[in-house]
Amino acid sequence: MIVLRANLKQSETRNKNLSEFAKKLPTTLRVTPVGALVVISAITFFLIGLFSHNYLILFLSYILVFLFLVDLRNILRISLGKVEFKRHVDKKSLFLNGFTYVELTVKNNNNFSIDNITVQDLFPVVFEEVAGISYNTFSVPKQGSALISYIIQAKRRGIYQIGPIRIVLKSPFSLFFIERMYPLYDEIIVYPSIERSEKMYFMAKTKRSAKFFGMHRSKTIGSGTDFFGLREYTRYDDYRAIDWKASARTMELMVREFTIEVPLNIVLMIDSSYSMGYGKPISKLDYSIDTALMLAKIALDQHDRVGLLIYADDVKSYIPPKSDRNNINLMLKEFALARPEGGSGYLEAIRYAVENLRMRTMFIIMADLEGDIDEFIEAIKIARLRKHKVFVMHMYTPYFVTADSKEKPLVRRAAEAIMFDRYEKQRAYLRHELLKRGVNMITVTPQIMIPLMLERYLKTLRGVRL
Amino acid sequence: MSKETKIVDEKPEKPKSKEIDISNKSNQAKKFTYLRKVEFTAISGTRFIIVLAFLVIFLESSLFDYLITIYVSLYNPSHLQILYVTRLIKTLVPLYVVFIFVLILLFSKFNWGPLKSDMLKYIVLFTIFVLVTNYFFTSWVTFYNLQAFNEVYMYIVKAMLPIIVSYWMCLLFTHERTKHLFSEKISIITWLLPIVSYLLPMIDLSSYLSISYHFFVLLVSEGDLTYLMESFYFIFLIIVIIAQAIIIFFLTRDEYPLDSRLSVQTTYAIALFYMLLLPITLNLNLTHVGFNISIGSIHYYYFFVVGIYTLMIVFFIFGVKHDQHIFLLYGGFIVLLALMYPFPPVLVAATIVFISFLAVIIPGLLTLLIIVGDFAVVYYYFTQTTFLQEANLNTILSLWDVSGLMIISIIGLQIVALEGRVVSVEREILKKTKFRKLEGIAGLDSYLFNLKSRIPDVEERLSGAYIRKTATIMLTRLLISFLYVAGLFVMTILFASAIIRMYPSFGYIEALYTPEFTVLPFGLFVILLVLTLRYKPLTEEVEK
Repeated sequence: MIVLRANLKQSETRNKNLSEFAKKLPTTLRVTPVGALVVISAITFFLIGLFSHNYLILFLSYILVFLFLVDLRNILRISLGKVEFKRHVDKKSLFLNGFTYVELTVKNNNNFSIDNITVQDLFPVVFEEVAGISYNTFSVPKQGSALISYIIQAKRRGIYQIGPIRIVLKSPFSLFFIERMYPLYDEIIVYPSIERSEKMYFMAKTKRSAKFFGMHRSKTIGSGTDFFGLREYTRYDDYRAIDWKASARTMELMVREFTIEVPLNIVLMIDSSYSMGYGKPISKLDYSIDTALMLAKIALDQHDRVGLLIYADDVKSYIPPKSDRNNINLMLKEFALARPEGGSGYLEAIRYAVENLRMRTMFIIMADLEGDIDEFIEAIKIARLRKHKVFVMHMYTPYFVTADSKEKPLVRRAAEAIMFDRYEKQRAYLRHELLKRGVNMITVTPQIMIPLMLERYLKTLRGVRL
Repeated sequence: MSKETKIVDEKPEKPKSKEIDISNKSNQAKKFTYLRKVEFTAISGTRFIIVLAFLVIFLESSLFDYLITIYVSLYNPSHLQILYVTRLIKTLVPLYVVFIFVLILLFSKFNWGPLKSDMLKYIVLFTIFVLVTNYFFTSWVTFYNLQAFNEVYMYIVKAMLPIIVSYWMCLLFTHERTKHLFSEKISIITWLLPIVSYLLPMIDLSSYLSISYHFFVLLVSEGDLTYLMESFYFIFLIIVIIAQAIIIFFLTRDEYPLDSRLSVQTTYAIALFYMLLLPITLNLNLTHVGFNISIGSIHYYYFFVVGIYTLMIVFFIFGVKHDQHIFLLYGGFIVLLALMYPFPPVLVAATIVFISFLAVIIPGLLTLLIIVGDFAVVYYYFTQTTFLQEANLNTILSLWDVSGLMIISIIGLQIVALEGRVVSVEREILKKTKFRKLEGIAGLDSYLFNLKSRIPDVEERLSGAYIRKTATIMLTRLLISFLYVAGLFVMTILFASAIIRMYPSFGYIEALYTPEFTVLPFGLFVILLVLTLRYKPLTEEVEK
């Protein structure tokens, strides 16, 4: 079951009614500073000319008024409703730091040309214009078209809208202008960078190939081929499993046990509460997404089953664990849509996951644990009761604070010290409570987060028994 | 092996073929031609000229005089105080602006635009020279309560005008954006600049020469020392004009790719023109200070001039090789004479000239216009009005203030607007369509390469080639708009003139007779006509 976060069709429906939108928009005609100067000059000249009986100055004022009227007529005859805009976006989904080419065509359906039109294609600041130009002033011939094109680079993951289009139409003598927004939107999904996870994965493969070797599956005791151990016979054991030699030696019925390698079930749980948005330039959420992406990739390569659960107040999205490689594409989409908002509903998230999972699973929880700690412990309890393995990656907030070289006031330093103390106590308490329930928790910093996670993941794989 | 040799050895060899190895990622960026940075030169120097010009124009305008009138009515100062206040302001304020500008020049990196080196500096120095000299001169003239001092201020404006016009013309014709409008073969700059530079100051030269001569005669006959001062004063003006002409000549010769042969010939032609005109101005009725001239007294000289020019035109028609500019210069004069004195031989000559104009119509018209303007100045000053009488002097000055300066302001504003639009086109289109440095952006080159396989002309699209095409169309339309306004202006003046001729009771609008009012709008009209007709818009439609 996949819970989709946003309705991507929203903008498409909006674009359908575009022409109606454009017609309804108010067309406000405004006077430029030059236009105002012309008017003031005309009035001044008129008054001076009138009172000083200077016909030349009067004449000058008439010229200015005439110029004003001519320019007014020129701008009023242009119908912006007959100007069409079409945008072509080369790639609507791209990875972080990826590029896309955008082309905006302006078609003039008026029977006369538009000489001085400024068109600006607005896009969010998370995109950087790297080539071409999204803002230009040009002339559009009658029944003709003009185009502006540019390339933008995505600097943050997420879903963004390109648009609307800002239009400034100036009169031939720049005495008047009309400004309006044309509601043409295109949505672009920016996935987190796969490059980084690939790089990490490559490093892991090369440097730690020995560790990976022979341990790419988790072990389950059952009808396998690898000898696991001996134990006493119980009435439900298969008699074929009885080790007669050992039974003779110990004078008790002993049974041989074997292990079988089965794929590991992993659910990556990402907290997307508001506090996860903290951290500049890369937030805690971004770090956790990067880590999750890398882990998912490694796990899928190991033929493990990987799922994803993003939660805040409630479950935002859930992708059940599968060894299907397509799962990573679904995850990418969910990662792109993840936004830090709301509180942390640990209990609901774990309940949701537990209810939807039939097999025993390893939960890798990536959270800053800024929410209700007791609720978190309660959630862990539930997971452990159902025999699920839990691993907590604690994104410890003080580690994500960027160092500030400025001298801070004493009060602030004291407040920070108190906060830090509180955080430390909370962390110690958590560690204690989680260890009681057999749950590992590691505290990560932005720098070591991914390597540490990789290390722990490998260790966990080695030691896991389901 | 020494260290240096090692470094040399490490240098990669230049590829022999011009093809760039695309497999090398760093070369992929070079593959795209748009990586070249589009240079944009700000035209900051022009701003200074505009400020100075308009300041001088304002100080000379009737608006300033109106302010002085208010001052007089409020504080009731003495006549001498008024003179000192007005002259001090009129002299010191531009001087102060120039001083500030020199400071900027000395202590900051100033972008001169197309005029990189010395021209503006010379202009500044020259302006300082004129203003400072004028300041002392004014004090002296005011002290002796001489009547001729007003000429100084007329002169300042007239001295600034050719410089400003020359500068604007240079700017317009050498500007990156507009220079392609003019064919290389008959570049307007090769003949327009010298004419504009020389003709306008020379307008004064002939009159000043005659006036100084007149005062000298009075000095000899009456023995009054005041006439000596007046005479010296006009001699000073003549020296300044000649100095100005020499400066402008060297400036234009050094700064611009002028054909020196053309410059020399044009100079020669203008000098000849003035030499021929001089006897006319000297043959004035000198018995009275007011120069009441009867038109009949100069008929003989006009016939003399007409004869010489007709002869030259005949030579031209029969294959004697003359420079076309000289021909136009003289031919223009013939046409003018034909309009004034419609005698059959002159009319025939003028018709021939007119037909010849059609061959080189645009430069011809412009040259004709300047000649007409020049002649009209001389003609009206020396025939239609009495000159240098106090009442008439005031009339002339007020007419100059009200009409001439207004017209110059309007033209200046229009040129400024045009220049502003050109600059904005530069800024909006050329600068913004330039590509940023792409070297630092990883992966963009490969994306562009990929994009190029799908959109072959992606380079052109991104570099704003299509937008640039529309920019040329926009400029054409702009020029046409200006032409339209200038045409309306001209028509209005013609209409007003006709009204005044039909109903003489409106005759007090005498400004309509002043050449600055009547000629300069025509000048603007024709300049814009030239620009528009010479413009080669790219009319092809932009298609996706």
